[in-house]
Amino acid sequence: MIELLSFLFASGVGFGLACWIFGTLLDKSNNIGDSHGSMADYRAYVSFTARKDRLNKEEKASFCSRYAQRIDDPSTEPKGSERVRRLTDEEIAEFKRAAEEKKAAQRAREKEIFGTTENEFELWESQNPSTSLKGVFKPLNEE
Amino acid sequence: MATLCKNCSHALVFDPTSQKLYCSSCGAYFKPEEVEAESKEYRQDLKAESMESIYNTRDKDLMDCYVYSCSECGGEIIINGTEASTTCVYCGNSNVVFSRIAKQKCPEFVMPFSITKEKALELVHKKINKGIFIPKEIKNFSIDCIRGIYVPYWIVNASYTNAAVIQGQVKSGKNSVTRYFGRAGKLKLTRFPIDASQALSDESSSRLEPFELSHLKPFDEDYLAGFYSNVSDVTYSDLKYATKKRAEEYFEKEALDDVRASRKKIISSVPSLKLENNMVYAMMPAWFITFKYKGKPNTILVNGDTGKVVCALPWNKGLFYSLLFTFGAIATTAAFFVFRFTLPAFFAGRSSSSGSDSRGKIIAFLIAGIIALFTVGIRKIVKVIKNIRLTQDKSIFNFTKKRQG
Repeated sequence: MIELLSFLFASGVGFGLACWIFGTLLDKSNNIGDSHGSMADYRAYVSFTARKDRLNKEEKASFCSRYAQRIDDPSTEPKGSERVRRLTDEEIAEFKRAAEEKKAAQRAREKEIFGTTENEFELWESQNPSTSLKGVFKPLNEE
Repeated sequence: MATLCKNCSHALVFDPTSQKLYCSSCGAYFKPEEVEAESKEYRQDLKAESMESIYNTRDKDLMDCYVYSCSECGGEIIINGTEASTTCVYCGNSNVVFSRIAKQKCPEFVMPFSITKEKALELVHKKINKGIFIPKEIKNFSIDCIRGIYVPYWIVNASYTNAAVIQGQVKSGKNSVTRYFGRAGKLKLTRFPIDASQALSDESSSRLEPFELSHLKPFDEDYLAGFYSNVSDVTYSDLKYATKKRAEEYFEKEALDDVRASRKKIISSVPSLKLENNMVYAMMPAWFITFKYKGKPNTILVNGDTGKVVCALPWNKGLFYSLLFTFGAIATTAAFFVFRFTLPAFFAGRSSSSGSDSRGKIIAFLIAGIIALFTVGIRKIVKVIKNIRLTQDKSIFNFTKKRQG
């Protein structure tokens, strides 16, 4: 009995160890450059707006709908089926105007319902660096 | 279509080492921005005729091909629907199909090649020579073709939000129980490159990252001379999907890392992404090296700016399995003797309830350890196999191979 148990454990440890060591060696040897840009490479960071531990059944069911914030808005961007291209300044201005109109309408509605227009997401956005790419890429010969 | 030398009218090519245009005939060098714009203006008006209209072909593969004529020798240049620069099959000179990259379609920035073909090959050989399980035939591979291709990218700005419920196991006294955690948050992606070529899979192109965006220069088609290039052919849906996938990956990793539990997984989430309309169109350099091994095509990618080599190569299965089983057998024998002498003492202890409890824990720990060793090892092998499939993907092979020159 002891022999059988010893053999079972020994073969598990022996071949498990071999599998782990040679799997790692194979990954290092044959899988070259298996990585992509990390968050640090793009100076991106996640800012948590809600953290809840030990969710009960009700909270578990309602967490996503309660804390999810829908920010995509197809009316303020080109159609999904269109090929991506550089937009003209007029087109960008037009989309911006549409987005602002929509925001203003939403604010008015919020004010009507809650009596406040504070938007947490906008506040967060305003505290972040500008997303404008103008002047970011300067030709090296200008330096 | 080719930029010609001021001294001898020979076609110029971009030299990654000097970062200048080079004339192989008279040996002169020119800065791309110094080259006269007359030939560039001519290219704006260049018209192409489709293969269908010239040859009246109904061949499905040729329907999306266009015919230009080489400015050097007048030979026919046939390119597919997304190529922007190529090489003349008759005289070997580089040609930029400028009408493809004119006006709205013209990229704003280009990251010129800084790695030469020779350097790219040297880097590849250096990497693969280190691989202990890479077969000798691959280490001494003969190149099927090597092409320097400018891959189109959109550099985007995006905001992403998500709310996720995470399931995990936490310790509660002696047992572990399932708990649920909620994490909601925002992520801002700034100057994030997304591959804009449908022919190249996102998985392959993302592994070429990171790109040093400070190396981008205002677009000048002279940087394309001597290289192949493609124009963007993705839709807004494709771009949004690719950006969302990457943002989701970053958010999920951060959310899971933020939860103190084991065996964590996301069970539900509501992601949302907004792409800014101020995206920037740029061309990034990559070397594509193809070779065949056991009849299967393999494509190695090299980032043309940083020199990062990307590939997963078939392994020497005989060597791998023989080493694995030999090591496994030796480790098993050693472990057998250890267990043979420790187990009797282990089971001979007092048979009190606390003693059997701790024995049970040790055995459970041992079994869990064995399962973990197998799981980690097998996962690594599966990952290598998955990436080998990417390297042997026919679409990426055709992306490189189906070019004139």
